[in-house]
Amino acid sequence: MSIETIAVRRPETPRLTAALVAILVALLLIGRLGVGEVPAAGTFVLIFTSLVVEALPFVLMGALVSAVIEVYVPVTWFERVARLPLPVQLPTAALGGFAFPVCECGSVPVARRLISKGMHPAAGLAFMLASPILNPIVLASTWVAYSGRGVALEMVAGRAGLGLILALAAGWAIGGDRATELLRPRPGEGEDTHRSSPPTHPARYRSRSRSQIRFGDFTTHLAADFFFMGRFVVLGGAIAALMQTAIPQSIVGGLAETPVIGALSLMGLAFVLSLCSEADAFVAVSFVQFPLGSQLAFLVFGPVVDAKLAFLYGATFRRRFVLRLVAVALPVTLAGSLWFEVAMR
Amino acid sequence: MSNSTLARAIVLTLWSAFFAYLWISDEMVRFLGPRTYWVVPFGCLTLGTAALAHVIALRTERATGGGRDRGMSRSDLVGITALLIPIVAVIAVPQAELGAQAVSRKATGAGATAALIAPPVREEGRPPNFIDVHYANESTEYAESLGIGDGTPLDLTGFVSATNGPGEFTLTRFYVSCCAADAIPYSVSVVGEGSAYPDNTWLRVNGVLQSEGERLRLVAGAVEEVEQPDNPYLY
Repeated sequence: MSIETIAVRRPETPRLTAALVAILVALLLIGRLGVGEVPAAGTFVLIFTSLVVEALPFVLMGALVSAVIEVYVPVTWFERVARLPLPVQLPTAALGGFAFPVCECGSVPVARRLISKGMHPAAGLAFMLASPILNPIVLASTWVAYSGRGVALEMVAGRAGLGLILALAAGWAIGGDRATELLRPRPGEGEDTHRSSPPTHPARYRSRSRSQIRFGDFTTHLAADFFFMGRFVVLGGAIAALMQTAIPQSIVGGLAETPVIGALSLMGLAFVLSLCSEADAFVAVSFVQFPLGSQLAFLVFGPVVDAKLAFLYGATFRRRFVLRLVAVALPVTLAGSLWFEVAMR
Repeated sequence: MSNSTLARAIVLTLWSAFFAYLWISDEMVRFLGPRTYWVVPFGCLTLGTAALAHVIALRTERATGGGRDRGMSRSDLVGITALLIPIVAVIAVPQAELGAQAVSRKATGAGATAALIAPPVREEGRPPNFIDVHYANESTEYAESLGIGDGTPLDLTGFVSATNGPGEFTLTRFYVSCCAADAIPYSVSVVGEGSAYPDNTWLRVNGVLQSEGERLRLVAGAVEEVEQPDNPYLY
């Protein structure tokens, strides 16, 4: 079930280089011309940079785990996992999120690698969607945030339960059967550094030990994943910061009256804010005018679909993945949050 | 050594150096909250290690005759440039901060200029802060447990986020949990001695709390302009 990767290496484009250098120079000039003193520019830069600074180490951790999986985990292990029936793979992968304490930025490259190495796509997706919600740090921060409201246990249980259901449902509904149907081929991947392929440049390997070759492959995969995911973290962070700078959050305040509208409003806000799942509970608990069910919708929908992730998903998966994910995540989260609201009364 | 791998190693080194700068200069407090300070030394070390490993692998490859001089692909170029943008943005706007504009965008609720987090645990001898006053406005029980009410002396340092009339302004400070994206503004209405202060002016205000309707406001006895504190957020 391994994905066929396409080796694409376009020649250097001088015009593109010039354009990108011009962008960087323009940014510097804009700053020096005093635009940075405009309050909105300061807000944007601070939020944008803080999102990237917070996310990049997690992206690196994800890339590191992904590179270890690619280079050091034997292929036979994945073949054994792939032979397990889906009803076993799916919940096991989703529950694996408990043991993977990184945010959503780190889980995407790991899930991609697991799927490309043979894990069932549905199981890989379930792991990717569950780990940012189920991991112990996120559940602990949810507990701390809601302990002052006296509903810490209920919110943690609700978040973990609904997050698990959503991950299983989305994995089952949109995972498909083959990795090639789900994953977008990545330019450059599968070149001579791909361990499972025979080396295309034997001279390169002739005088090197096995451990040197593996270490070289490991660093190449690590850097490739980091730079590939990193660009979308930057792009998504910029969009999220722009929306935070331009759109007043108070516009959703008037939509809190009914649970359905309230939940939909907070899901939309979660998409815009693109918060780290380890911090979002502290923001969710501040929406005091919204019912608890709506706050739960914010906590479950945000780590699965947000502006920053939309770019990461777009780069990792095939077309319309985000739309298909929203088509599953929205009704499941809405129904779960409404049930939670009723149960809490 | 290929151009793209060399460029990648340079960008990884730049990011490691940027994290080192945030760490050593304590500038990290402007971007992150206490719960994620650890990300900065962690990022510095891991990104630096990744850069070093990259260079070692390439040197090994070159020493064993396996290195090839390859051009940089468009994909490489875009990725590398994109990761430079945040660093360039910080250099271009070195004094970026959350101020009155951010308060106007981040405030939530019907007219509320602050939001709730878990109530702080009462600590003997700790003077009331922005969060205490906010909670006291929301909960009589909390106000009574902390002994906050009419006549409570208060000493707050924050920035002006709005001017409501002659000598009346809103003093605010952000609470940050993980990063500036999740910042929550906590505000207190101040009745001052008549001076007008522009938005984003940092002030230290001494005074006493006074009820106005159902809310508490701070009647200032002394207002002093101060430098922005090293850590501009509540923690």
